[in-house]
Amino acid sequence: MSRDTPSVETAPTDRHGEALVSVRDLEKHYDTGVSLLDRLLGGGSNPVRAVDGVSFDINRGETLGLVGESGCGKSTVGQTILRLESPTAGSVSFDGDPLAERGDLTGFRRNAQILFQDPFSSLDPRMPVGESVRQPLEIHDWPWDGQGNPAERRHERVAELIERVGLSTTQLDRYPGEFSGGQLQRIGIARALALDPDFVVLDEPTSALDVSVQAQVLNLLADLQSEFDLTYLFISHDLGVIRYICDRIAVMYLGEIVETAPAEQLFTDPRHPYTEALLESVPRVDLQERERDIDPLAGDVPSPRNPPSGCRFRTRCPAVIPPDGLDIEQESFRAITDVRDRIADREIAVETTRDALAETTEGEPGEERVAARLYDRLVDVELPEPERRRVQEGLQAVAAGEWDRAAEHLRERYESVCETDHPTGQVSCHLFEQ
Amino acid sequence: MGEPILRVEDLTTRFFTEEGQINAVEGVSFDVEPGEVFGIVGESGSGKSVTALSLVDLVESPGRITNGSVWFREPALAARIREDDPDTAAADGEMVDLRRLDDNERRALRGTEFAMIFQDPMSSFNPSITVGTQIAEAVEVQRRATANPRAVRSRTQGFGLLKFLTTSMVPTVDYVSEESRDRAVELLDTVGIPDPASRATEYPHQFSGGMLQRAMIAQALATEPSVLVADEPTTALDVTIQAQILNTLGDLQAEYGMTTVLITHNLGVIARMCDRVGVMYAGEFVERGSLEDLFERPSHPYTEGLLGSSPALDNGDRRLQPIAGNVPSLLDEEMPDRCYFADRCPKAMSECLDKPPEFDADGSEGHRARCYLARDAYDPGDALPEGYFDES
Ligand SMILES: Nc1ncnc2c1ncn2[C@@H]1O[C@H](COP(=O)(O)OP(=O)(O)O)[C@@H](O)[C@H]1O
Ligand code: SF4
Ligand code: SF4
Ligand SMILES: [Mg+2]
Repeated sequence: MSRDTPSVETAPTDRHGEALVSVRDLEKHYDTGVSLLDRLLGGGSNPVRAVDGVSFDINRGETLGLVGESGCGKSTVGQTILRLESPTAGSVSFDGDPLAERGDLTGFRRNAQILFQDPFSSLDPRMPVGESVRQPLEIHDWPWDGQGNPAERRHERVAELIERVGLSTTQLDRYPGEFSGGQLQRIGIARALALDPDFVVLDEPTSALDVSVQAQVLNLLADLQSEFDLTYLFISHDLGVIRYICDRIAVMYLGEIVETAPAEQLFTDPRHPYTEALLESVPRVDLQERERDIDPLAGDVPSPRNPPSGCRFRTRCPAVIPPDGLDIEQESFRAITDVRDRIADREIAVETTRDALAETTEGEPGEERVAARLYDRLVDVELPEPERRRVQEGLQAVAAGEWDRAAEHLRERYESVCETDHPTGQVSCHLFEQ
Repeated sequence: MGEPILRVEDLTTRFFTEEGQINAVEGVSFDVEPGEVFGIVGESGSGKSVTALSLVDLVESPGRITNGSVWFREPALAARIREDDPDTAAADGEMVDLRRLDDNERRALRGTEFAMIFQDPMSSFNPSITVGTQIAEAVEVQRRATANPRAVRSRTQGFGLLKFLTTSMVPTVDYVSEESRDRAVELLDTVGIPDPASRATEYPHQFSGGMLQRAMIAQALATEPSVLVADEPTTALDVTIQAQILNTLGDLQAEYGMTTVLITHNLGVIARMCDRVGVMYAGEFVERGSLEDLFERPSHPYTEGLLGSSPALDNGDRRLQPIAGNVPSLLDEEMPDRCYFADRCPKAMSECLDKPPEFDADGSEGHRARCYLARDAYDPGDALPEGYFDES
């Protein structure tokens, strides 16, 4: 239920809390061409694993937030649920029925709508906005009760919708180009609500808007939800917006959901290291913000063509679990893990290093010296002596061109449960498994 | 307050387009102290980017700075100009007016003392030259400019900062010295790029957005500028990467004492980075002051509105207080001669139909607001009737 205005007078309150949408092991892989970047990142011709096994329920009347950084698969989840894209595996049930078993999706399409980020691209620029709002009524042959004159009824319905979203009927004959972004998003909302759906996917609906206008649209969406008893899947990268509008939140990283929790709990007591880092990195509108220390996540999100084994967050996680018996500080372990990742990706410029050394000395530099130089370049923390030696030995193998031996030498000592086992659960992290 | 390094007075920049005259920046004034981060915040189209371009003299046709001054502290140059012409209007005390300097002096100054970084780093690099070489060229341009301001031209001209540098100094570099290359690697290291020696040999498309943004900062640092103008440097980035870049900018700031003008639409970024702030609306600074002035005692209803519209991360229950209406057009003929915010202002009064000047507001010495309420208390009795501005 929306926190803002408990819906007292709306009809089927009794069904609140039941799952309207159930998503199980949903997967969407794209088998597209290989970009140069992916080749460089070592992804080869693997498919893009945009969504890779996500499960959740959206209960009637609630807003489930789906949050994560760009490219993590949020929009693909929304589109796959609505069957705008077909999943490569997994299932979606709507109101108890698996969609895959429905021969005809018309009823579902009527009942489940989507609102996109870019209000300019989702409305036909050559069509007066009134017609855009009327279009779904015509496509689905509304009104279905057969009463009155259909054209008149549609006309009235469009007028009612457009006023409800805060515009005036005098604006119905105008074209999208004559409206601001916020007004167009209101028109988009009117169109999405035309057929009185139960479920709406809101895909970054305010991300293209200025903050003053965003606030208007967010308030409108919250009001409409309680008025029409809507269920929302709210997709956004903006944690402030997510917190404001959502009842429960699912956090995505690299095609997977890493944590699901009630909104309040997620923000006050984040569990998964990624959720924690994500929250920490948002700058607060607060005078104390300058004093707040942020320890930002290092590095970038890996390619979804070639996600890390085990826990996908492990290449950036500030809490990777060292193997039993290895007593080492996180910072040191992180540094070693980074070297191992680079060895796995063969991403160490051995030749450049050798050449640079050759220029400054007589003759070909030996592997040991190349390894020492690589070590200086790649490891910027003080490692305990045994670890320093071990890493140095690994780099010596790299200098000799024996990448697999290097990888194996380091794996033996440093392999973590975070790379071997895929974590599961409400909080998908080995730190939270019994 | 100390002596400013930058003093902007009445800056006015217009675009003369087929649709008409656009008043992108309108009588903007502010001071920036050495070593501080001065923030400019506002919604899209409010004139932030054009202000930035005006500061570094990069406004292109059909745009033109039509009025005002950009004073920059450069005692030696100020003295020399005064020696040549005791009555010069281009120098005032230790400051010189960038707009009144002759072209060569202005370019030389702009290329060495100012640097700018942009929202989109991709468009700032030549895709067919390695990142290291492009930064080395910036180093080279700087070195030669100091030695002989007219001798260099770069292969990267036309791209972002290098375009900026090269239009500054008429240059070409076909030769980049080993020293400059080493310096480029150092700079990449400074901005936190791991394994900078090998990354220097890569091309822009091999960098992620965050890495490329760092590389652009490295390139900006190559000229050892006194003033860095950063226009939405983290807007295109994910929050975790934004946090990295803001930390890097903060560290560099602390280390080099570089003066920064930081432009953003994000109040959180302002809170994290800035000492003093100007709020832009419809081409004007509607309020300026310290961060405390703006956050604790906002004087202009637009500033209040911006704060009320921002969803807070630490409190989910607050209902948002949006500003009604839409961001206005800056087309001269559509700009009424009144407070530009009046049609959206919940406190608009009949007096507001006359354009308000800047008033002193409560708080720090530099706290000013372009609103009658900075001078007079609000009296609901003076309010304009509801619907006063509705379209007829
Ligand atoms: N090259 C240009 N030609 C015409 N108008 C421009 C140009 N650049 C900016 N403008 C106009 O100047 C105004 C201010 O724009 P800008 O400074 O980019 O705003 P902000 O950076 O705050 O989003 C806008 O109305 C914009 O359309
Ligand atoms: S499973 Fe390991 S790598 Fe993944 S989030 Fe937990 S601690 Fe970090
Ligand atoms: S001058 Fe008047 S209309 Fe403008 S912001 Fe102040 S009170 Fe509002
Ligand atoms: Mg801008």
